[in-house]
Parts: sequence; C-alpha cells; structure tokens
Amino acid sequence: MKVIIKYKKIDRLKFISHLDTIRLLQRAVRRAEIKILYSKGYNPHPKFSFAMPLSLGLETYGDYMEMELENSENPNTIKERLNKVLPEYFQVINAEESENNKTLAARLEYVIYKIDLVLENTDIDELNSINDNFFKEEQMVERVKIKKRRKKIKKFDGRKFIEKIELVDFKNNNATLKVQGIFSNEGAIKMEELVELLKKLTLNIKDYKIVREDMIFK
Amino acid sequence: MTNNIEKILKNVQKPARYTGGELNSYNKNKDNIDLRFLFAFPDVYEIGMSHLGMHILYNMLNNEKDIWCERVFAPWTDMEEELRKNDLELFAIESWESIKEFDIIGFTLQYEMSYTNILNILDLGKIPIKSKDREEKDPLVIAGGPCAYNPEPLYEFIDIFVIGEGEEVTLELTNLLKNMKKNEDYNKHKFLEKASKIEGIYVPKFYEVEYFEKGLISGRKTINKNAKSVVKKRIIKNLNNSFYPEKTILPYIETVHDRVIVEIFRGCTRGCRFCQAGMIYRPVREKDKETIINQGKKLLKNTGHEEISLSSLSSGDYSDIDNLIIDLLDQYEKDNINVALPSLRMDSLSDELINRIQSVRKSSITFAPEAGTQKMRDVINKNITEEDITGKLKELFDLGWSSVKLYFMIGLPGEEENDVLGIKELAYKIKDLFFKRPKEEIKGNFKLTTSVSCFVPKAFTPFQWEAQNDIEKFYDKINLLKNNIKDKKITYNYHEPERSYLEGVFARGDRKISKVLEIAWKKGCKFDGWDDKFEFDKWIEAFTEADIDPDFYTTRKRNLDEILPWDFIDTGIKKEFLIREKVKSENESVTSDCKVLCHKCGVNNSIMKGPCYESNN
Repeated sequence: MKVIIKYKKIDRLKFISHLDTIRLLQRAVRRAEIKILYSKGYNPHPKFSFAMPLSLGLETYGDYMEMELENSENPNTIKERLNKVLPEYFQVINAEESENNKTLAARLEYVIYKIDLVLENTDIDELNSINDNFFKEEQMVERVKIKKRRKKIKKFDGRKFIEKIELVDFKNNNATLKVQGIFSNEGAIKMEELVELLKKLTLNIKDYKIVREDMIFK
Repeated sequence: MTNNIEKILKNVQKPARYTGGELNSYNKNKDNIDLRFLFAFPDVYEIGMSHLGMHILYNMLNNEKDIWCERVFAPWTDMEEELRKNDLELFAIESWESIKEFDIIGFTLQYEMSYTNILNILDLGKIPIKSKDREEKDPLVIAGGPCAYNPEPLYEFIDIFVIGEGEEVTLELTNLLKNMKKNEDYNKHKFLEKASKIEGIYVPKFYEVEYFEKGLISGRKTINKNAKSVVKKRIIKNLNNSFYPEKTILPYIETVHDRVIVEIFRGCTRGCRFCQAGMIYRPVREKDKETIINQGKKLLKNTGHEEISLSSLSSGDYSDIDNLIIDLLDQYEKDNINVALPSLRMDSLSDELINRIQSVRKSSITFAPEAGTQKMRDVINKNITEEDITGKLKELFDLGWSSVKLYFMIGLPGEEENDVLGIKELAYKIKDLFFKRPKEEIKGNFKLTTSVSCFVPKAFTPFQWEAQNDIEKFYDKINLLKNNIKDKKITYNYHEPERSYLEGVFARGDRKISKVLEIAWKKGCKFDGWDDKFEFDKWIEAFTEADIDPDFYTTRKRNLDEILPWDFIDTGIKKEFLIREKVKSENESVTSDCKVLCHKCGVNNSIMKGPCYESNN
C-alpha cells in the first residue's frame, strides 16, 4: 500500500538538507514501528520518494513524500504514529492512500511559496503591478553551477517558471507575496533567484524570508 | 525578520552543526533552572556527537530537574569567521545563547591536539582564556577525560580538573554549586576551596611547582589548606547500576559514528605497555549481559538507529562475548539492524560466530599487531604471536574474507631497523597466505592496508620515562618501509611524525607548556588534529618565542627518580609496578593477562579493596 504524507519542516529544521530529511524520516518510521518496504540488494534502503527537494535554509508547510507499506493501514493512524515520534518542528499535516502509479515528482505541477519582504521607499502601486511588470519583458536568470570543479552557467527566462505573483499584504514597508511557481520537466526557478529579479524590477528589498506553502499535483 | 545568528547560518557549511533541536535533546525553560551547564567538545559536531561520554553526562545532568545541560562544539573556520565578522558570541546549540551565560563550562579532553580549540572556544564566547583573568560573572571552566591525567599543560586555563570517570563527581560538583548558591554562600574562590576537597578534583591554582635550573621539577607544594597533595582518580565501581541513558540525541546530519552505542565494560586486563587507556581505566568492570541487551533495546527504540555497536577497549575480552553477540544478532538481523563490533580481536571469536557476523555485513578484518617482530611485541607486551595472526587470517580467508587492515607503531623503545622491516615482512606473509592456496579456494579481491603511526610515550605507562624518536628518525623509518613495500595489493599509510612529536610534548608536558599553547593559538593554530589545518611551523615559532625546547619533553629519556609533572595523581597503580614492567620490557619478557594472574599493580588494594577477580586472589 502506498501512502502520501504532507509534512512541515520549520524553525531550526530548515537548516537540515534533503539527505538529512530522508534519514530523519527513515528513523521516525522505525521508531513508530511502521513496516515499510525496503529496496532489495546489498544495502537495503527504504522506498521513499519525494516530490521536490527543498533548499537548505527554507521552511516548508507543504512538502510531500510517498512511501510503501508492507501492510494495509489507515493513513490517519500512520500520521498520528509518526507525529508522536517526530520532533516538534517536523510534523505530518496529512496522510492519504495513493493508487497513482506515477511518482510524485512526475505529477508535480505547481509549487506555492510565500515571500515576506522588508522594503524601503516602495509604494503600493508598484507592488500592485508586480505581476504585470514581471511578465512584461524577459527576466534573465544566470545560474552558476559548479560541477567537477568547473563553473557552468545556465541562462534562462525566469518567466517560464512562474505562473503568477500576488500581493497578499502590505503594511509599514512589509509586504507579503504569494508566488505560484511552475515545476516542469525543465526544472524550476529558485525563489532566491526570483527575489533577485524583483530587486531589478525597482523593488528596494532590504530583507526577505521564503516559505514553501504547498504543492499542486496533476 | 531574521535574527543575527540565522543570518550567519546561511553563510556556513553544514549549518545543522550549530542549530540543535535534535530529537532527544533538551530545551528547558531557564526560569526553572538553578544551574546551567555547558558540555564543550573541542572539535566539530560530527566528532563530538560520536563520543559516548558526552551522551552519558548530557543525559545524566538533564535528568536533574534544576539543571539544564547544553552543548557547544568547536565551530569550523567558516563559522568562526562569520562570528568574528559580525561581532557575535559563540552560542550553545540548544538555547542559542552565548556560552558566557553558563555557570559551568565543561570541556572533555580526548586528544591533545584539540587544546588550541579550547582556547578558541572560550575566546569566541568573549571569556578570558586564563583562569586568573576571569571574573565572578564568568563561567567556571572545568575539564575531564583521559588527557586530564596529565593536566599541567592546561593549568592556566582550567579552573577545575576532574580526574577519572565523571558520572558521580560531576553531580557532586553541581550539587555543591547549587547548595552554595541557594545558601547565598557562593563565590568562586570559596567554591574552588570546597571543590578541592572532593576526591578526584584538582584545582591547579592551589598548587605551586618549583624547578631546578635545568627545567626539571624540584618540588610541588599546596598553597591552600584545602588542597590535597595527592589527587586520587574516581571510578564507577558497579556499571550495572551506574547511570546510562535510555535515549540519546539523534543527530540530523551524518556523524562519525551514527549509531546506538552500548558500553559493555571499562578497563582492560591485557597490560600492553604502550597503552595509557589500559593502565588508567583499571580495573576491569563488566556490565551484565542482560543490562547490555536492555540498554541497547531501549536506545534503538528511542532513536530509530539502524546500527548498534558495542563499546569497550577490547570487546573480545568480554567474558560472555559469544552469547552476547548471538543474542544481539538473533534479535536484530531480521529488522535490518546492523550489529557493529569495533575493537574486537578476531582471535577471540569462534568461526561459527564470525560466519554469522559476516552474513550481516562483510567488512574488512582489522588486526593491530602494533609491531612487526616478536621481539617488539614482547617489549610492548602485546601477547600475540605471528601464528595467532596468520592462523586466524587463514581461517578467515577460507571463509571468504579478503580485505585486511593492519595497525603498527614505529619508534617503540628498543626498536632496531630489522624490527621496522618486520612490518613489511608480516604484510608480505599475509599476502602470500592469501594467494598460496588452491586456486578454487581464492575468493574475493585481496586488499591489505598497513597503517603505521609514530609512538608517543604517555604518562602512567611503563614507557613514561622513555625517549620519543625525533622527527628525522621517524621519517627514516617511514621511508625505509615506503622503499620496501612495493606491492600493488598492499597499501601503506603513515601518520605525520610532526604531529606525533607535538602530541609527545603535551602528553608529558608540564606547566611551562601552557605558554607555548597560548602563543600558538594566538598565531592562529586550531584544529591541529586536522591535516589541512595543522601548521607545524607556527608551533615551532611558538616554542622559540616561549624559549622552550620541545626536545626536553619528547626525545629526552627521564631518570626513574625524576619528579614527573603528573606524579601527584594517583591512578591506583603503583609506580613500582610501572618500573617492574619497564624492566621486564627491557628484557623482552612478557606479563600475562591479569585474568590469569594478579601482577600486583596496586589497583586491587587502593581502589577495589580486594582482588579484581575472584579467581586470582
């Protein structure tokens, strides 16, 4: 039986990597005495699959992971048993059975983020038209990747990875944006990259905080 | 929006080294706390979190309602840079509060090459590094662990040393502090006076050391009436009812030993003459098999670890080792939980058992003959013959093992060129043993790793008077082996003699060395145990500036009547025993295991108040 869990990973736990998250869940499953399926072979590891890894330093209230259980069980009890043994900053929000054969990553369509901004000298009109301004012209992102000690630069138009940007709140130079990012077979844009693009769009950003809110699947 | 610490965490590698919040760690409300204790490990998180002693003391202290024990580790250089650049103080990973806020900071001394990190940690917390410069408001700085058996090189920096096993005495100290504060009777000096009456406690500022012109110690005296002239080590007499944690912190990031550890006994009966641990941890005290199994079960349940490991100085010497391993395998094999057996002498296990361990995981076989010739193995009392090694290896090869690791030392007392070459010869013999079998029996890819370290004479061993080789001599021996081991199947590794030489200075150093440590740290020395951070040139500069000749501590042979810097510590072992062992070593004569015969080291009378073993009184 396959179970998809939606979880949050917040506060101090934003500083642990994707690999650490896998280990954390593996051990939580053991502590909760949930029987899961392991891969076959010399060094068996649990059959976990994730929708999309989260960058180190970001909080999430909506990441998804799928695991395979040995036996059929009520997803709600799985959630409860896991939450009992998980640290407070990592909790399961929802668990449900899945009969879809496609992996989570293959089904992922949109990723929703909330970005809190601390601004300076920004007026409300500028913020209200942020979405239109963003899509008006090309938004070039230069992503530097170091592979085998070699720098590789990937250039792309940021617009193809953004569905929309919405202003949710604005008060005393503090603004909150809701961003719907597109996840395609070409990948996705990082929110830090989006913030850099917004800075170029005349937004005077002093500080910011990105939180992943949820994911939408096909 | 983001606080200062969060900001710098974004700029460092592995931020989870500093963020805490792990499962089974403690976050207490400090309003309900009478005493804040900081366990300080002077190396990185991944190493510190693998250390069993930390887990024991952390949980023991946090079991006390009114104590909150937190942790700090040496920040890696990127973190140090961020802290200094942003003028932030080093913080405890539980509360994220400055390490200055604590009542007691307790350092564990596992390795001499972490001493510069101790000074660096204090300095990063804006705490004066020297005891005499710290004020009432500053934390008390205490230290314990194996290196505390020669505490003098750190005497200027540490207020209190704890000699021996820490479980009981740490609580005695914290209780004393709590009570004095409760009765409003506390100041640092008064506390140190009262603490110095506790067995196992050494307060260096209550002692003065005098020297002859040439640098040898002429005398030691107490300058406070509360100070004892001899400090006796502490031990836990019965490990079955001594504190052992039921849940240990589960790190998020990978650590060196990422598993459940159950200690099975303390001490060692083998009496290897180079080994400090084998002397200072005497006598042997075993935990019952049931206690071990229960402790392991609870820890696995509370952590979800996928591996359980047994800890001791030589696990094969546990009196019921076969049944212990069988019980563990029976219990955990089916759950994909690995049973790890470090420090296990393969010659102590039956083939049947080895075969079962192999079915879980087929790793390499490790042997530590320590020396290449029988003469040298007798000098160091290793009590293992070439036949013991080759005989067991032949069996293991036949069972399908093919990867072997061998550990040796060079620079042992009385060593000659052919003894060094004996290392090569033994390695070659083992290779022949593998290949000179019928073709159909040869399975696997043969790999032999020979690691050679440079011998460092240690306090409280029969070799404490011996001269250490100088760096040049070490290199001659290293190169002799390098030029002679020419086989693709044999990998040859060696330790840098420069570091062993420096270790030698601290292992047998006196108070004068503290000045060198301070200068070296000021020059930027830290993480001296790390290959990419160790800067020997700076250390040599520091010795020159302090006008101290390191050879005085390393390559100089001591007279038996010399007052040694650590003589005021009583480990329970009589000096006469060490001298007897030294003389026997010179005659290449061996001493049997104490389980066979009591050799009257003194521990039975001074600590056990009776025979260590019922069988040999």
